[in-house]
Amino acid sequence: MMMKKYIFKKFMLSLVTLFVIVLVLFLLMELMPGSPFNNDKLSEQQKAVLAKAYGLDKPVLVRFFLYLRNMLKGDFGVSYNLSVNTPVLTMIKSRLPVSMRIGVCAMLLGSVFGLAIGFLAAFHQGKAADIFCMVVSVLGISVPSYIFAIALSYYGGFKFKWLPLLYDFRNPVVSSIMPVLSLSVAVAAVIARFTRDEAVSVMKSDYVMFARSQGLSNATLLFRYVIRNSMMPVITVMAMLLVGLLTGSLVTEQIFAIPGIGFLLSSAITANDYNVVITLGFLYAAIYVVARLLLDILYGLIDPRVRLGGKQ
Amino acid sequence: MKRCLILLLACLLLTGCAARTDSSGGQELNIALSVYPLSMDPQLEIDGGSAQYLQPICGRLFRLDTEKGYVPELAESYEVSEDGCTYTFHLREGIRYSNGDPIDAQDFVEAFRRIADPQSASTAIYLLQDLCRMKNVDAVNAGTMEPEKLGAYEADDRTLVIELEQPCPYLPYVLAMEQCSPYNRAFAEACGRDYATSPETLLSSGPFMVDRYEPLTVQVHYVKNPNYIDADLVKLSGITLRQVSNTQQAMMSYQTGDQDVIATGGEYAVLSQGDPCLYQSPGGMVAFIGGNYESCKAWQNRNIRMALSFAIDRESIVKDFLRAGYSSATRVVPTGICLDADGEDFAADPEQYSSSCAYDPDRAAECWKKGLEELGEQTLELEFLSTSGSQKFVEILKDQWERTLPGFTLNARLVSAAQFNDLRAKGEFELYMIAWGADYPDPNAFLSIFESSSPVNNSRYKNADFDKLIHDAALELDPEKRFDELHQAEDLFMEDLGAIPIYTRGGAYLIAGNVQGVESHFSGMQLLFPFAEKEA
Repeated sequence: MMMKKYIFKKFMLSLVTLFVIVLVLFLLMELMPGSPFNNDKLSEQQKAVLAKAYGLDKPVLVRFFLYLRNMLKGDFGVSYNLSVNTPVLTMIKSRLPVSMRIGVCAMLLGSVFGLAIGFLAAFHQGKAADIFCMVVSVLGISVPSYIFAIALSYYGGFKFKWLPLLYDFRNPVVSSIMPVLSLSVAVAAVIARFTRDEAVSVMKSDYVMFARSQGLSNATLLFRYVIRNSMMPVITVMAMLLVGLLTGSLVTEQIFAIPGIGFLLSSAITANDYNVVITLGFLYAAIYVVARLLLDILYGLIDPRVRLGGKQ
Repeated sequence: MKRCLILLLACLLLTGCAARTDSSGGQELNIALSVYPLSMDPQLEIDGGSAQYLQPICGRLFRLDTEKGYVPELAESYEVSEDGCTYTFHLREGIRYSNGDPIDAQDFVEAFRRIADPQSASTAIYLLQDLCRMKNVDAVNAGTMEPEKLGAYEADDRTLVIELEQPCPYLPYVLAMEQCSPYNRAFAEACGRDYATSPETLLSSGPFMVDRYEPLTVQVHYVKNPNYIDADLVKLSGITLRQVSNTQQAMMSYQTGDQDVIATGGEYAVLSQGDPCLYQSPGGMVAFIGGNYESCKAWQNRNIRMALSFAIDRESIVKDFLRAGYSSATRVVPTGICLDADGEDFAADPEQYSSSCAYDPDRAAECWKKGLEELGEQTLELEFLSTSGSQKFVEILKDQWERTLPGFTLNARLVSAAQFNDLRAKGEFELYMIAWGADYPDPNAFLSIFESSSPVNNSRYKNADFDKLIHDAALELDPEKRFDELHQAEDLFMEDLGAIPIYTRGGAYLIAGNVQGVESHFSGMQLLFPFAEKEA
């Protein structure tokens, strides 16, 4: 019963958060200088006709509630100038899967390597392997992913011609390898760092020391105690990293000419395409809020103290 | 290890499983552009980027031709009335869309009505309102007159009549634009809101049809349209057009042979200097500095304008900064674009107005001194409105001006492109710079933007004599007299130095040696490629 209440409360809180986000996005777009119809070739009269056709001549609050009503029906409006009259959902539908596919792959690849490096470093704490792994992960965190993207495309795509330089919708598997690799480096580095720190702290805990004193092997210690107990904070980090990856990386998209969501957002902001910006802003926020909600529920299920805290 | 490999395999599988869809037979042309299509709906398209992607699928009454200017495509012939206001077009027999539906005169009428319909909110309305003044377009677009009264109607299946409010000698060029391709209303209505958003909802009247496309994608694949009237002229089996915004990647992709044609420019084009595959198209876009005639006292002073113009070293800007594809400009009508009936260039002498646009620091300082005296000022501080993408250019300008003109301070105001256009339209600026590309190769396209009633005349330049010359030229039916009036208008404008021309911009492309027939649009900013050939 307590768990149901806890989930309901978190769910309602998420809904309120999303409502506030839509409102703020709408008002921010209103405050943004410029108009969606800023083409040189249009006269003021022509702009007024366009504004009327799209209902932009109505007061802001009327437009907000109209937008909200349509949004609840699944209609996020049409693009004003990026792709004139194309439903915003149609535009997102074509780009989001590409960003998500590449993001999920980068996440999986980065996680596998990050966890492996992190546990390896933790088990060889203070030794050469630990120092090497941490130097590599610091490099991975501090060097931006586009540097890896450029280096990969030069060596992998141009010099040795192993892989295609540009994303190609006729060959999505092979042409996604370089973008996935370049995005996964930072993921692996961040996860390695977190995993190592958590694993070291778990290994120093009393119950692990006791288990070790009982003569348990390193492998048993790792799989039975260390991994299980150090994964919670790592999963939190992974969830947040995944949100970032799903929503696309503008620079990597530009380097590999990927039709992803990051480029769509930056173009929409530049062009003042209100509906596209609000919908993408909402989508980003919704992914984040849902991820947080799932994590909160997960915490509540795993640790009853969280549920009680929620009640208080 | 085995688990890692399985995971890696799963990763790759997740990235998509679509099979490569190569067209059978013939050669495929791969072109990388710096732009992507905003819309594949011809009547709603307004940007040059979409025009490139629409070009293969849009059959028009006329298509552009690098030698003749334009040649009939879906039209067989046409007549013009004595007053130059009524055009009668006869369509070719047997013209069809890619789905086999016949194309008749009503489809062209529907295209114009759709552009003029306020409900379709087409930004292409400027074609009918400003470029060719189609009869009743204002009232139809304002919703006060039925669309049926628009000046375009079907006399019979193969005869289209267009009525204009004033003569428009360059009408075939307007009709050669993608927006004026036929519109199959029945097909579009059956597709509903999804019209022109997928290969299934896109109809072609041109040499190719879309094989793969998603809205706002960066890559479009076309295959030959077997129903195209001139299908025998089409040598390629397919075309892939794609956007590559990173020029370095485009260059590498071209060098590995993945792309046959790429747009290049700046330092990358310089790297290709001497390469026989480097193709530089004429500069059909003119960049000029304008100032606010209503609120900027300094700009109102001719000596100050002259000083600003003399202090700009255009050659060095082009040579050291802009590089390939650009030339310095000392007049508002670019050379090599606007030819008369005998093929004579309207702007044959690019240096005609060098007396007010040459780089001359001494004369600049002299005019500056006079200008300051007339204004009663010792120093001058002006704000330059620009987009953040032009920051480096503004810095160069600031350096040249402040070095040559004592007591001058230039402050840059860098804003987003949307804000830049908005502030210009509202007249909230002192100085700004824009590049203007023409939709048709006629001096009117470059001069009429400075008419006091033009929506693009952001400077609010007003000269009754200039307005009269532009107006008279618009009504003049004799081409020779018309050009003469436009010459007088340009003389007057340059005498006033209503705006300061800086450079012309064309295109720079790398075209692989085994590709023939890829040519430049008159504006220099677009490529004509559907009739290209590629050797294996």
